[in-house]
Amino acid sequence: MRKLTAGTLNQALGLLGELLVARNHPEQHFVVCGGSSLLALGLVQRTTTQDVDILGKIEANRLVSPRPLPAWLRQAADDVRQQLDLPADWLNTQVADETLFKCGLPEGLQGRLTPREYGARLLISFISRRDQIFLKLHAAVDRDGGRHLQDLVDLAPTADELLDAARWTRTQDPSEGFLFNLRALLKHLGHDPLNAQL
Amino acid sequence: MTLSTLSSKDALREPLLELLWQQWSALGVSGHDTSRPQAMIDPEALVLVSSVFARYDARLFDEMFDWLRANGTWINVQRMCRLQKEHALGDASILGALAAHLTDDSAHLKWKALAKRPGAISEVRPLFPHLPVLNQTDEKFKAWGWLRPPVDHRGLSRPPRPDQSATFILKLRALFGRQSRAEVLAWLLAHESGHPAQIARETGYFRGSIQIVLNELELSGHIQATRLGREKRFAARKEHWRFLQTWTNDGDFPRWLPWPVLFTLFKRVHDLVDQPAFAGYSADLQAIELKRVMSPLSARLMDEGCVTTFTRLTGSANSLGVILAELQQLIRNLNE
Repeated sequence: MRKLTAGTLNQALGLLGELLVARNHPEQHFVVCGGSSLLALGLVQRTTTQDVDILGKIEANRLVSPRPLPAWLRQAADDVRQQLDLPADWLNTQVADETLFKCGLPEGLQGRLTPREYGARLLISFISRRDQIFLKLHAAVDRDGGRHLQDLVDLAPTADELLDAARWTRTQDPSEGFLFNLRALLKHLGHDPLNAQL
Repeated sequence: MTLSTLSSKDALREPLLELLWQQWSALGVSGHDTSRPQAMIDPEALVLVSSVFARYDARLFDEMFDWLRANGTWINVQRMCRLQKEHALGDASILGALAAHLTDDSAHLKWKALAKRPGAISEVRPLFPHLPVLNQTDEKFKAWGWLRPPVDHRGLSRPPRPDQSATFILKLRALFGRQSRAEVLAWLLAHESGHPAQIARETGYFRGSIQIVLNELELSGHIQATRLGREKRFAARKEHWRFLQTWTNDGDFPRWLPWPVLFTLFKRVHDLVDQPAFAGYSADLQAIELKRVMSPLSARLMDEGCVTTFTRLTGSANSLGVILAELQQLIRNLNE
């Protein structure tokens, strides 16, 4: 089983786009975040990722939840998986938690997207570095660091970016427990002074 | 092996036409092939697949037609209709045109089931796509949407020879009639044992009628039944049936091959690679689409005993060239 490199990602999305055309499926415009987005835009030195995280889809120029993915798309993704020996569930919407849409994505995210066409019927828009910082900070606090924290460190956010991101994460989870962990993480990142501004 | 996409359909068609020539020659059509296929021919599946592929060899098509005029009574039209429906195998309009001709002869009235009035014909096409259409055309074929020269019956076809293993089903039909018991006995003699649902599925009949036939055959004392739990399995006492082996090339009963499934597989792959868009697909997409078409049929073929070939064909990362080369080899091996 292969991990996704920048090349494999391009091949997999290209093949998926080709399948949509060959099988006469409707056009799709997905918004992608996470490791595949970092790879596609070359934002970090990291060379592989496990999956393609679909954050949302654009319908009538509005960013909406991508869940659930239609059965025909899951079938097409699975055909690509088998052909290219990709990880199971390589294309998924796990990150697209309903809370994100209820509480609100970072303001202006849609305007900062970088779109790429994969054939005539598949458009993938990768989120910007700034929005990655927001989502990665939230994920790192929420899931105790790990690979999300590594990605955040690799993105090398400025203090201003981290402050904006930290304020946004509070809209997603206003609990005291989350705030405690957020403060600890900012301190760990060498930005303890930001805690006074939260 | 490297095969250009443009020649993909020919890469499949050529060995398939060779196989059809072998089978029709064994049944008694005039000329062409002297090699003798070993596996049992399924006459109804052969007519169905020939209605699709014999168009690409006008001589084969007309020799088949000639054979059907002389020997069409050996075809179980009811079974052929059932196979056609189950496998979506065969070209209904070509079968209709053939039937329209055959039913001119009162001996072939059963073919009327296939000669019901054609639906609205949107366009009339050449029956033989590689040949020009000259002045005169056959009116019956034209009514079914096909342009071809008037049919010239040479009358050179012979009845099937009973001394070949390939024509075993027709020998059994000569003994038992054109009902399911010919196929049932042929299937039992080619296998160790089987249960009614399996035999019905593989012979192209309904389970209920096969159950009745098996119970009747058991009463003859030449077929035995054993019960394993709730399942009743039937087996032929092969030593009782050795007198049927009037051929000399092999000491055993001929192989039963799931021809309707095999022919359907070849047709579906052919239809896919014949699509104009297919040539423009990437190698990965071609492989995906080939596997999508082949997987359900491959699974059924493995169920019916064609294991080794299809595990290779459905493996991951196979390219069009590899799959077509494997299919070519499979077709060539089928009659060995």
